[in-house]
Amino acid sequence: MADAPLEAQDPGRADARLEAQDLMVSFPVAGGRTLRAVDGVSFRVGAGQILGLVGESGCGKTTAARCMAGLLTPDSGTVRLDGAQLGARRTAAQRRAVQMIFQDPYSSLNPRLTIRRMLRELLTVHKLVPRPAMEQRCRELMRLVGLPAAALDGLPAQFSGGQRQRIAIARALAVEPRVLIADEPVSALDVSVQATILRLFAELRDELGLAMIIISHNLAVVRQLSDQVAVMYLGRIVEEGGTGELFGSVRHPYARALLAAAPRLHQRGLARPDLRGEPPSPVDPPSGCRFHPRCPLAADICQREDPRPRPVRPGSTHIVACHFGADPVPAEAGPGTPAVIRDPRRVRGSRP
Amino acid sequence: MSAQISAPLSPLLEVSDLTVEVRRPRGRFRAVDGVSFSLPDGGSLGIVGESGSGKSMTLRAIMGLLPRTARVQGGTVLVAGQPVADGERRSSGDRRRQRLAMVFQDALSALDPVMTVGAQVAEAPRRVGGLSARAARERALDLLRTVGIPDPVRRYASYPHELSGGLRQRVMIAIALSTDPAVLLCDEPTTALDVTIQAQILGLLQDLRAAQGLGIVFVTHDLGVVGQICDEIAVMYAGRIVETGPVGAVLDAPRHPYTAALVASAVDVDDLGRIPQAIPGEVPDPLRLPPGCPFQPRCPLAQSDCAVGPVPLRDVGPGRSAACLHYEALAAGVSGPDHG
Repeated sequence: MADAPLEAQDPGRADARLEAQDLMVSFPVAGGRTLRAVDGVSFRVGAGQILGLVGESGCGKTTAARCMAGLLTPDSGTVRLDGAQLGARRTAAQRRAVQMIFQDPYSSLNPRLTIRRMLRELLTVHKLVPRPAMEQRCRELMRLVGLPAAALDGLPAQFSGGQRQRIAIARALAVEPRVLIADEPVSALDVSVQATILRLFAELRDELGLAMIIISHNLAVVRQLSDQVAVMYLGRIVEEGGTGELFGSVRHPYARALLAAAPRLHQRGLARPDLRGEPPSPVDPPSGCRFHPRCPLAADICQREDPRPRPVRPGSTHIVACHFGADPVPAEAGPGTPAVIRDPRRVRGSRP
Repeated sequence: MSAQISAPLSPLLEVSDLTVEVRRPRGRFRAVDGVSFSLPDGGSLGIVGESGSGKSMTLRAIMGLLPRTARVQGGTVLVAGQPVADGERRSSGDRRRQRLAMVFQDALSALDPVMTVGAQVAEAPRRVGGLSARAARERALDLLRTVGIPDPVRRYASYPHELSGGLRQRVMIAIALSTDPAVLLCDEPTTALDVTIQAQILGLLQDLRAAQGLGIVFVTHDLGVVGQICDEIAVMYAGRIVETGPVGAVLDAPRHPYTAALVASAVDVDDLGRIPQAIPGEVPDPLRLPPGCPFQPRCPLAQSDCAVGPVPLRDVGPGRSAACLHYEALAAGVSGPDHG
């Protein structure tokens, strides 16, 4: 990494352990067309911080995460680790530094290896621990993920879903990562187990000072765990900010619908979020604001102009990409896009 | 809520002492053990529990769709007071089960991939209802409209893989409705869907209930979903119902320690002050259930009498019952949803 670009010394970046800038990813689809899965996404996460990435199927959250983990090369955009840009081909050390955990731990574990053999193999390949210290390190990893040392003798099939997820986390931790990316880590688990795995992530953040990205469709999971939240829709981040601030005043109509739709334990009667239809195809995204055909607030401007992300009030780190998302601006301060919902005439996406 | 004793008729669906035995290479066990409940006209019951609690097996037994390794060992299923044929699997003469229809979690694998969705919706009206091809098509289009599929004429000719998960689930509900059922048995119908789509499908089920007086039995692991669309809840553990009652009362103040533990473990988007608490220990091996109450080894309230013999459901409040010897300790406020 001697050839790290000059920006690496930029002081503003010093606190970001992992940073993505303007990621673009597209895939070819039938008919010679392209599907832009990730369309200009940037975010950063610091040491000891958890960033929650929320959105529904197809919004690009997993694709963005795969770019961060080096499993996918973006068409353009950069990923930096501790300020140093990561190239298309990562060094072994760089690959180790960013580890990913998946939804289904069972299919990501070799069914024929005991947990001990799996961990020892990793430690050997990466030359991380001298042979005599290996058993010690394996036990330490079990302790970190809250499993008894006896688990080292087991095969993946002998464990429950929650335990397997712990084993997958132990395997990720074995290579001493600096960043952990977890893609829907609790979605496949029983509710009663989800809580313990979420708590484990919080403990690991605190004990190891890891930077983490938790990807989930579940706002409750993200709210519980994250310091920062980014909401994605059709390949873009539509709203982001500190967890407390964002949930305290959700601005984007899509994020509001997500929040309204989340099932609540002590709510009786059905939540009917103000949201029409289903997400359009990312192969052919709508004009202007990509959310306008489904949006309860959509007005003419939304069809024409793509809203630029902007702070909800000057200087805020709470960012929203909606023409009507920011606080009203005093007339002399802000010409340009309307900041007040003056005329929320509904523009139905009724074009054929 | 719906406790009127007005109709002289029998409940829409009445399940008594249903017991299902499952064969495994290592032995046999009761996946469903003496489950009873009844569903009034237009009622909705949510059955919740962890994987392996027997909730899906209960639905399959009612529907006559048990896997080959399972068989009904005892109990009765009455639809409007009449027993359904007591086979494990549906037979053609099993007319009464036509009043029941099932909606599955995974629409893609439940639908026929090589048949248009329209033809699949039209199949029952044609073959069972005896409609002409043209009339069956009209009926299918009506059903597609009923379940809120936009542009039904075009969608009629679509194949399942061409539809989104939400639309596929709507198609499956249309197929379920095509036999004019009185009760929809739903097995985690929204678990695989995104939350906003889940909300739309739940809204559809709610509308169908209101418009057609459809009874709904809804199996899910999501307590929040049950709270939104069901009147009554039954909590299952190790094949048994351990607590049942009006959904609000049960979730707000559980009378069984397992229900309390499930509620305490749930991650809720509004519940910031509370840290979700995991349930200690693990779901027991069904082949080696602990003696007495099956939850006793994990239970914070367990005492020596819990391991002595079976613990039956008993009355714990208006319309409520729980299978716990020491539920008063919960009622006294040891745990529950009160916080902050």
